[in-house]
Amino acid sequence: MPGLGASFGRGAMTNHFIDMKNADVIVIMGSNFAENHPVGFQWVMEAVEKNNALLIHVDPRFTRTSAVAHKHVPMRSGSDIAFLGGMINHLLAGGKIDRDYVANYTNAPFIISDKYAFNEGVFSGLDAEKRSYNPESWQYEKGPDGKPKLDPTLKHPRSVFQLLKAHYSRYDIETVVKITGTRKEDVLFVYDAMASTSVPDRSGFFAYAMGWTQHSNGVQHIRTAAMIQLLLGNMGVPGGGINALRGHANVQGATDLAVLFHDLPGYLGLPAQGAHANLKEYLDKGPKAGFWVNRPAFVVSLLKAWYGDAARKENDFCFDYLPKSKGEHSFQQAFNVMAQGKIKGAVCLGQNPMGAGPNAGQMFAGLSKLDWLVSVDFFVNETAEFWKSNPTGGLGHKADPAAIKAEVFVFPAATVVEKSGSFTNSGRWIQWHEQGSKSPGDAKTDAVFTIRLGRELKKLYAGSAEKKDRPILDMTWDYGEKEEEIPARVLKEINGYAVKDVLKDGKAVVKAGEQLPSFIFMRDDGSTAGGCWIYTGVFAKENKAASRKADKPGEGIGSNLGWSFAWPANRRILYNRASADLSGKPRSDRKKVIWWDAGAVNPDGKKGKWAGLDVPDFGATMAPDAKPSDKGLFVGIGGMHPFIMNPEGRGRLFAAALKDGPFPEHYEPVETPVDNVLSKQKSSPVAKIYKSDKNPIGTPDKYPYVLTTYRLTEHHLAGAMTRNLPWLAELMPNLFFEISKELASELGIKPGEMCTISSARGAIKAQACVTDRLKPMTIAGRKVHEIGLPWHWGFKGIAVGDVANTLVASVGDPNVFIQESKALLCDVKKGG
Amino acid sequence: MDVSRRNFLKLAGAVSAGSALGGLSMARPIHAYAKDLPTKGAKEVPTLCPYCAVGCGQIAHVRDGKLVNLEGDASHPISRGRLCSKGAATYQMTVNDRRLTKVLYRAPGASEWQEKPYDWALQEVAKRFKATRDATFVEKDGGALVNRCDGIAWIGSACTDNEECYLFAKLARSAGIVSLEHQARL
Amino acid sequence: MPKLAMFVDVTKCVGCRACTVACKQWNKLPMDKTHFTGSYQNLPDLTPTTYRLVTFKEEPFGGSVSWHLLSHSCFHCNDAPCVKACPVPGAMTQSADKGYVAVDRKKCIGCKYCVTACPWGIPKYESKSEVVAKCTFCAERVENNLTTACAKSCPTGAIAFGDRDGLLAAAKKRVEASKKIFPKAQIYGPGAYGGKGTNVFYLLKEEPSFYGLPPEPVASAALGLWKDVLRPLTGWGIGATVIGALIHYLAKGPADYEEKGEGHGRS
Repeated sequence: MPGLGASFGRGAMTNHFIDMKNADVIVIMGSNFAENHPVGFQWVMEAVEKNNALLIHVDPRFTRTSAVAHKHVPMRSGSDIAFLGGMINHLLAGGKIDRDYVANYTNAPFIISDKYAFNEGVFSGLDAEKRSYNPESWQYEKGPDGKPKLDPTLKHPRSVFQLLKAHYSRYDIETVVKITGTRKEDVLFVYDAMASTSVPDRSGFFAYAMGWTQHSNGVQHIRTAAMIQLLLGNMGVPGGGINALRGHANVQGATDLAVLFHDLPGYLGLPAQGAHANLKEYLDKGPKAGFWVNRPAFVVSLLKAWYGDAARKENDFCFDYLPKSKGEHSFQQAFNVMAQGKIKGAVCLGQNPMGAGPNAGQMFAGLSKLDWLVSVDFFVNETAEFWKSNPTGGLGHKADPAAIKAEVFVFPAATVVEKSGSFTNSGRWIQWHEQGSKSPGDAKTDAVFTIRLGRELKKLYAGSAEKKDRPILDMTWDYGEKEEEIPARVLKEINGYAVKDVLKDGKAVVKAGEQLPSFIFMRDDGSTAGGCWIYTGVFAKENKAASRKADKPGEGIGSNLGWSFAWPANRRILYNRASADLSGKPRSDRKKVIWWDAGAVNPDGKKGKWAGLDVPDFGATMAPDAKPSDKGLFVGIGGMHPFIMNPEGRGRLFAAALKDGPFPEHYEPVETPVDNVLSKQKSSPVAKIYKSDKNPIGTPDKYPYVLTTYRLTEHHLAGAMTRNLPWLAELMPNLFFEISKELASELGIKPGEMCTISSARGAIKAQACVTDRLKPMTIAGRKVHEIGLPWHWGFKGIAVGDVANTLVASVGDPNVFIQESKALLCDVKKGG
Repeated sequence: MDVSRRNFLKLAGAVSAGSALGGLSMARPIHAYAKDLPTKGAKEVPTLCPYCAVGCGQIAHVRDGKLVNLEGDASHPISRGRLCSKGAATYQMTVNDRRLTKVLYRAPGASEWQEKPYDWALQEVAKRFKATRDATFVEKDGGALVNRCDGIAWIGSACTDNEECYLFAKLARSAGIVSLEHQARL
Repeated sequence: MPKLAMFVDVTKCVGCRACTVACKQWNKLPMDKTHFTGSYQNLPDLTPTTYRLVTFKEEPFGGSVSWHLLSHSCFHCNDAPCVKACPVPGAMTQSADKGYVAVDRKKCIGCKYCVTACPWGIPKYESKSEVVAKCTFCAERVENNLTTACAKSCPTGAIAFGDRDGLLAAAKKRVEASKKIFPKAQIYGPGAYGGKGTNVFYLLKEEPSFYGLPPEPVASAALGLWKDVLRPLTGWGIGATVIGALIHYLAKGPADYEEKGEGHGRS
């Protein structure tokens, strides 16, 4: 998640589930933690019960999470940044920040270019036509030595600290209340609760999920929380951090391994047309300081893993084989291009766009234009059967098979219990699962499907003299004949191995053919191969993902270093160097993680190393007083710089890396019933709005109510994995929507009654859940009603119903292109 | 005599006027339930919950290659044996009459599925994959070497193993595919 | 007093219904057909194939709302009315040491006396198999030193299983802590039947009647009458019962749940 990446250096959950027990204050916002991650939630309950933690749920709806929280604080969907921006103002105005932490570990003292400006909701550098910013004016001001200028007193008017103060001074409590609709005393309750963690002895965390991400400025939601945690000194400590709660079993792993258009495994970035003509250019454009200076070794190791002997220094290690992106190829964009007839074939494995994709009409338009479609799943899902009319569930799904030319192949898949392999959980733990039962009939694992498809392609291309076919022919693809051994073989390749002896100071530190124990042994000369550097160490001598040595229950901070393997390098709390002060002593005995042990003797005879309750997220022997060096593994990083992935070694309160501004700013959603109280700029000037005849944008005169979509405990995503299971179909049989008693009474809607919900994109039928758990709010003097709609249903399965995504617009965040399904406009009518 | 439940009750009622029913059922240990567990003799295999990303441990009880029971792994430090309603239902994802066990094929314009052999289908898919790739491949764009296959999308998945994701990326990128996505943007 | 118990702490319940599904999974119970009628609960009551149900009830609370989520099932009473009411020897019995009350489906004749007798209406009669079904306290798990399926699964620890005295002590501690937020918080169950109590007990946030639970669970008046007053007078009634059961057995065979249930096993 770039919101975290731009702030701290890595886009992943910073702490982990068990660590939540160490918190003193817990703010769940943008997440329905208890419903969507109930078993992880036990660690929140543990903090409440054993650590006397305060539990707050900030959410438009009163959910099953709110039911056990000390306080539920309602707010309007799409107003989170106003809420959190107000918290920044409250902390700064009241001096409730961890000042030493801010001065030493964040970029607060850095001076920003005098060209930087912010006016009426717009940052300097906007090209309004192209809906994009030029971030040139957002850079650090540099001194004569070419290094950023700092003011340790934080008083310089263009220091990040002063700019921050000025920017958020606009977010006073009255303004926040006007935008969010939350009662003033409730807002202040949350602010003061978090403020109580500004002392080193206390910590608190934010837990978020899609309630923050699914907005046209979703990334900035997370950024705001990241900034608060830096101001409070809550990063790198037990019970602190930003805990991103992932919704799929392996959404973290699939992201790490780059099943994403813009990336290569380990966040190396897919080369782009026009920017990266050759390997040198691709590597030179990488970071010049911070741990990312080692990127060339990671890139070359990846190319060696993929193309084996064909990857040689003289041919740029087959860099040319990699496709070069041309602009955006995101999920939403792909379906737009598909509907234009330019994407003709699609392979869908373990995914169901017809139910899960925003703007179902757009999904259908795309699928209808395909020549062929492959679906690999346990059940026939909505995507596989998009061509068939299914009148079940509300309005159902209409299609004319005769008019749809796509050939469709559905392959039966093996379930998790039928295969071995690893998942990476939300807390970055790579965990192994063994194969249990045998798959029925022709059901096979996705690995077997993919390997066999690759083999068939190699056969079809065999003998080709065309350059374009070399990548397929040269791709290493020998994973043996025993299907049950494939996963372990692949994990070994992901971990990496020495192709030749790996040398350090002329001595072989890893012998040819051996597995790499750590990514620090990766080389850019072709002597190492490895598919995903951040995973290196998971399978060195043994498969550590399968390691099952848990800590004694209740003991310590819950690191469980002997259970599975957490990337990177088995670190459990990221940025844990920040738990110690400049001299390396724990900042608080209660919140200690690692500390500098000056007397420890290292294998090389030198003295001093980081010791503690976790693997240091730092140079293991880099002394606290070490000066930044321009060589080695940590270029530019000194012993006092906890955020090793950032070139400046500090957490960023001001971040130039995002597409929509260096500071988060409140904008209204693309569809909103109200004006922006804070500026003339109503919605984000750079929000992505996909052009398509399937994507009209609605206005409040026709669609007066705010709609937010959400998930339920009893179902999963688009529902194929749950609506086909009798026990779960029983618990949640029908599509419903939540409506306040006030609005239901205005519209004459009775509990359970079938209603029609419409947006500018389409209409669906759903039954009314009339409830006190949603309340109308007063926003800028106007009464605003909000509707809640779970999105799990579709037309295949035991429990069937209309596809909620029919209503959602093709609108995206400019950084990650996620859709705005948490805040849009709708109308509701009695009757179906 | 038809000894239905109703008749029995009439009989009992007539005989004892509803007075002495159940005289023998005094509290005492019962032995009917002290029987073997249905999981007796089954292999216990550690596996993981396939739903959200908490990463809960599960134990699969497997007998003769068949799943007979699936519950939480009590030794797992995060989940401590616990599962939510989805996790607790995982057994039914595997043991389910609705599961696909054969390849299904739908011809252009057809209104029904046909069952097909796996190998045939895989070869046919490979042929179409190659044909589409060859027809839509962009080797150079504006003079720059881009090696891009614009005509195929690979969608998924955050529900598959790391090893599988790695294979998807390796094959898709080697084929030149740029429209490679999983659910992270949804 | 039996040694084992379950303690349900409603202040910790998030209504995820893992308990319901874990129970169905272990017992391989089929789905019940449900329809949305306005609440998350969907299933109105326990059924012969749903032994554990979470009820959902919303109430305004201090300017906000309170969502009362209650996972309920058989209370496994000491001096259980269902055991008293059951006319067939061994069909509804209690384990003296472990405390659970269980139906032996092979012996049950489906007379429904237990259904009438239970103050909570827990046992449910299944017309197809003509027997009564309810929570078994996972007797076979408990007898093999395992936790009940529902308690093991409960994500937040709202259902605890274990030593009865230990759980009672824990409940007393929890009730004091809960009273700060919920002034009417109370323990429900251990005081029932003049102190004989139940082996599944609850920490409730509100009065029992709020959840539709009888404040003082008592067996039906008729049951008390024939059980405690008339039974000593009529020894020969026993014989009739046993004969009746035997006739039922000969005519219909053992009530076999697996074979006669509707759509059992997987579907």
